[in-house]
Amino acid sequence: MKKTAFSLLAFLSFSFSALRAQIGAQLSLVAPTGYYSYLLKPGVSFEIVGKYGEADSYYSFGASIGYFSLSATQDTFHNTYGVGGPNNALCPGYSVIHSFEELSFGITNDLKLMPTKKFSPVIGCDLNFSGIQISEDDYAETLELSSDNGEDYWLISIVPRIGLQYKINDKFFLSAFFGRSLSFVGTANAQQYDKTSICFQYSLE
Amino acid sequence: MRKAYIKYLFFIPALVALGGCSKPYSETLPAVQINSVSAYGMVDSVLVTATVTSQGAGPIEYEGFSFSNTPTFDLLSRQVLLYSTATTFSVVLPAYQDSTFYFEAFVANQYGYGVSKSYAFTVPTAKPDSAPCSIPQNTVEFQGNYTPSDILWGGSPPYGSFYVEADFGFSNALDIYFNQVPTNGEYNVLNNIDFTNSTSKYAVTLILNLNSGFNSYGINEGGYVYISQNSNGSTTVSFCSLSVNINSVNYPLSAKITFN
Repeated sequence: MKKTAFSLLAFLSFSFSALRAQIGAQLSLVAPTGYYSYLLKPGVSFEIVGKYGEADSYYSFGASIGYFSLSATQDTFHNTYGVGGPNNALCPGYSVIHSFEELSFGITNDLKLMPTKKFSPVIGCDLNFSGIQISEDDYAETLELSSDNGEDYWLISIVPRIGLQYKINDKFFLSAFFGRSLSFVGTANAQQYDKTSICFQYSLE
Repeated sequence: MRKAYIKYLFFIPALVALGGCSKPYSETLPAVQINSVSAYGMVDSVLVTATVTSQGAGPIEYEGFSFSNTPTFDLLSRQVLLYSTATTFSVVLPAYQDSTFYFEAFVANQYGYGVSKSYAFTVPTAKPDSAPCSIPQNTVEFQGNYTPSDILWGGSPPYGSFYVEADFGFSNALDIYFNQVPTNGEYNVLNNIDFTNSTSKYAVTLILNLNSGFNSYGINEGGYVYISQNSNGSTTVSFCSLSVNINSVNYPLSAKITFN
């Protein structure tokens, strides 16, 4: 998954550099909420963001590609269970999450409220398609042990966000955002996470 | 001046990040406690009631009980799984008189399960019991009232391990088969009992033999036979409103028989 991510990052970087646009690198703190908040620790994601349009226009859109991995909040989750077996019983067990990785491709939209000013509030909304790979072991007494070395899932999410952009000079911009990723369709459990980001952006104009 | 602004810009995500800490998994698990265990109806059952004290981080999906006659046991030991989500839930479990049983309730949500503390309960000795109807002593009521001409009892019958027989009328007999020497309490009337299985300890089968046994009929399932161990050492078997199906017609059958 990491090799694929870096190949796509290189391709995206090259294609945006050939246009009159902006390209940026974004670091985010990804903090799961809801179901996963008890299972996965917050982690850091890295994204490359490319945006079309003038740097000082109200609206810009673009594409992004990002990757992050999260680690489990504890080594073993006791008190998990399975239901079944010959007596159709609740069978006590445990689970171990070895890894959780996510590679996402997104369409990003930004609305700058004061594009010509040094500071501008920004409202944005992204649409992400994420590929998720989870490696875990699940055990339930009398039921089969399931060892899963990388089951793949996918999710589509929207990420509404707000933030502030600071214009360092005509070429460089620094932004901070807070958003929440909300999945609404996919094969994995519905996922929500808070995403607090810092984006360093360079204008190719 | 510009550097000061940049510093404040970085404070925003830093502050938000503080709120993004992971939550302890233990908070997700539901909790439950057993409220009561009480003797229930017949001598071989108890009613166990439990309450969900916390549903954890998700709605309850399963509830249930497990129990054993030893203080430490596995959750899978004699488990009753309920597909219910009620805050308070109950179930009737088999537990014989004069025995101490240990009960645990469990509840589960999407994250995991929680188990109550173990609850020990000694099933009380059953009191003498008699049929809830008025029948004269030593009477068989079947198409008329009969006083048995002979009452027999003992071990090694064709079914179970103890029988009581009341001969009545002209060459008729009522046979009652137990899986033990009957003691105080209510016995469930069943057909085709597996008398080799200890769970049928408080079950009973009755057979009506007419015309010197040329015509035998099993008494319909349902209802109870009541046993009273009397102070003089005798034992009274009584029942009422049982029925026997003869040529597609159900006939009522009641009796009160004492043997010593």
